Amino acid sequence: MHQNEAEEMLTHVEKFRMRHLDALFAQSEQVVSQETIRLCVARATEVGIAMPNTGYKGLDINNNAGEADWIFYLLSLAEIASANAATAFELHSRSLARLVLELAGGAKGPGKAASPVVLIAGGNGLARLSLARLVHARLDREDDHFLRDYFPERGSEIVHYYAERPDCLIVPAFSLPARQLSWQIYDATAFTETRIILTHGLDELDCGILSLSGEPVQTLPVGHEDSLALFRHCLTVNTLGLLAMALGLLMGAQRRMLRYTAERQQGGAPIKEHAAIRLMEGQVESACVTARAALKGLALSPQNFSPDAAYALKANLLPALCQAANAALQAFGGYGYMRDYGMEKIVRDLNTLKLCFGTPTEILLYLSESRRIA
Amino acid sequence: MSASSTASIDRYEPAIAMRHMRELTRFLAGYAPSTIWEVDTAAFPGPLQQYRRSCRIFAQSWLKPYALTMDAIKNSALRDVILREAGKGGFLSDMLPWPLGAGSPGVFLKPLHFFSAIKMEELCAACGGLGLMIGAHGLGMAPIVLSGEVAAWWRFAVPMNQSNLRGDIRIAAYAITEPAAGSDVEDTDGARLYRPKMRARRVPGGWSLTGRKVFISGGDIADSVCVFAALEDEGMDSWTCFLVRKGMPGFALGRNELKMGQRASSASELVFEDVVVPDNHVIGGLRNGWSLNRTVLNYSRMPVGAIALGIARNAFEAALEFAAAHSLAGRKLADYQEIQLMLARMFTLTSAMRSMIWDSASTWTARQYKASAVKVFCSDTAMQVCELAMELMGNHGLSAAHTAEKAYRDARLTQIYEGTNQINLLGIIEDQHEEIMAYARE
Repeated sequence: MHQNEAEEMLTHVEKFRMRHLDALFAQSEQVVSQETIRLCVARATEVGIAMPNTGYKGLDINNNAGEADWIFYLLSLAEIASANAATAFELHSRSLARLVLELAGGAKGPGKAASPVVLIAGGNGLARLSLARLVHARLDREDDHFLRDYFPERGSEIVHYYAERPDCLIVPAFSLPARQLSWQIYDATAFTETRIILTHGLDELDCGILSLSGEPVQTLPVGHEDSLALFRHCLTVNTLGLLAMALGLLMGAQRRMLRYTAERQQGGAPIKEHAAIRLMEGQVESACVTARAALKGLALSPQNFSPDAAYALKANLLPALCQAANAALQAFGGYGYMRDYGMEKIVRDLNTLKLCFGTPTEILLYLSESRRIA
Repeated sequence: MSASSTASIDRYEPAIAMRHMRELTRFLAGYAPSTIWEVDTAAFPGPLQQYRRSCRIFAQSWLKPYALTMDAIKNSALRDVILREAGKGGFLSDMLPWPLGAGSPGVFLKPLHFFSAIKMEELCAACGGLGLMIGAHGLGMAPIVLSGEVAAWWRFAVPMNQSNLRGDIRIAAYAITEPAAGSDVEDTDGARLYRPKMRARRVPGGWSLTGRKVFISGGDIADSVCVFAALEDEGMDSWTCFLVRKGMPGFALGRNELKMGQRASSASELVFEDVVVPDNHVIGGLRNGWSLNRTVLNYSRMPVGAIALGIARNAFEAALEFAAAHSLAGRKLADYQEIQLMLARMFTLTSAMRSMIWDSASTWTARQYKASAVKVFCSDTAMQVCELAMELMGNHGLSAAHTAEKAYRDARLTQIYEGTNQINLLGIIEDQHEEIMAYARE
């Protein structure tokens, strides 16, 4: 795909969002059903939004990605998230699973299932797995405690959001005696699910604690080095997707805010005339422009894709995007706090993206260690 | 590491090392064996100590166990039980001292808003929503108390206090906000240009009120509402406070809002259609509503700071508990330096909030610049604390079961109600305008 082509396709995605998604998610009072989310994901796929995987040769993933493909994918994800983050999350999650299977040379049996999910990192923050950080830094060190905590194994619990209960899990596994990384597939009988009833954000999706209770049914046919490369690629791509969704959420907040501040009158003039409001609008615009530029910058050089670069962006951008979304909520006054206006949900969704798959503190520690070892 | 070397290292920890010192030294060094909360409380005069302890005991017994339930679902039966216990405990009648109410006998030692701040921190450290439900009653009573009309105290406040102490609950609410005009009635510039929609028309023997109010805390359970309306054909400068009772013809409850947090307390729409109130239901005098409103807000903004403090403390305590209970790589989370740094930051921030509140609320008059500064600083800081608590817990922080998530949602409202923080910041300048101008002239 060329840059011009990507730009043109992005306008189609924008139209798709306006025509199909905005109206659907306008009623913020009600949580949209998972069925609707699945439908939206299917439609988005029809529009052509898919994680770039063309041009790859086996696992030679560092040289063949097209930058325009990545720009199109990430900005499309942002566009979808600006209407509804859960749809973008589900789309991204499914795309990642498919990519892993394709890059790893395909899978048989359960790997061909309808709704696989990749558990590249589990779920419990500093207490357990949240970020599979330090993997490439610690793999060769005598640090088995950490490795046990960062890689799911039998009995591990992993928190995951999904619209459709996964029918198979694709999990990186680390064999301690051999110090080898591999990718394993668990079918539906090999894991159990406990739903978390109330979570902070992504209301439309189920949040489940997935526990690995059985044995894997298959190991993907790739060796240690390729498994490691695939793992690094997954971390990078997953994080970039989260950044794109976060940008999209703020774009959605900005659209709502600009509309509201133009309509809401105080003292005979719209409140957008007030410096206090203009400062908030400026903060949101600044965060949007920065995030877009950073994301594009990284997408333009996919050969430099690395977990470090993606995580560094996440650690810096997500808190700024969350603050900007809070400023947008504040512009609504009391209405921002009510579910009807959708602003409070945007703030919650953004917070969720900030904390899952690596909190800012975890990332800083990871980057420090990674840099020192390098 | 041997047992003896562990012991010698422990001796370097201040609290442990001090155990070996004489009692007098321990006292002088401030390391008497006690919790930080106890040390803070012990510094108060007797009646205030007693008040703080009673607030804590009530909050931990009646609010904390139901916090998550009341956040998740509307349970009016449970709500009524909690209100009844609060009433019998004197927490719904402490705006006036005995014999007019159940206010602490130490009311002459510290100002009213100091007591409110103590109470709101303790209640909201258990649950921001339930704390607000109880605290909003105090806000509803404030215009009656601060009007300075002793007759109004006897007519309205005293019977409500007595009823609440018996467990027969009568709640008051405060109604100023009109649809799409929240900030207009919280800020001088906004008010100067605002044309109030809620109107009071003269009728024989009283006033007929027509209009709507929104976001009224506790509006759905209120027996009495202090509602502000402009007189017919006049502007905001005619704003007057009227007391409207539940059951008066034309007074109805509109929708209850779906809120991000503090969900145990409702935010209701109140509808008034030709509600006739007698003349003696005017609170604080005709056309004095704007001044009365400002006075009430100056008194209530410091307790809002205390609400934020309570919520932040709740998040901090949840994080502390989590760090003590969970392990990573064979070590307790609380043993990791990065976790200790986060916990220490949370402690520092909550201590700073408390110091500011206690210092500002110690002055007998509640001035706008001080009240607003407390409200802005504490609400912003509470958000920082809650964010840190959630981050410390990682993905666990996203689950409602771990309290920090709820604390975050609860804290967010403190940046909005009683005037957004932006309105309050401008209020600080407004109140200090003459002094600032004097600098400019120099």
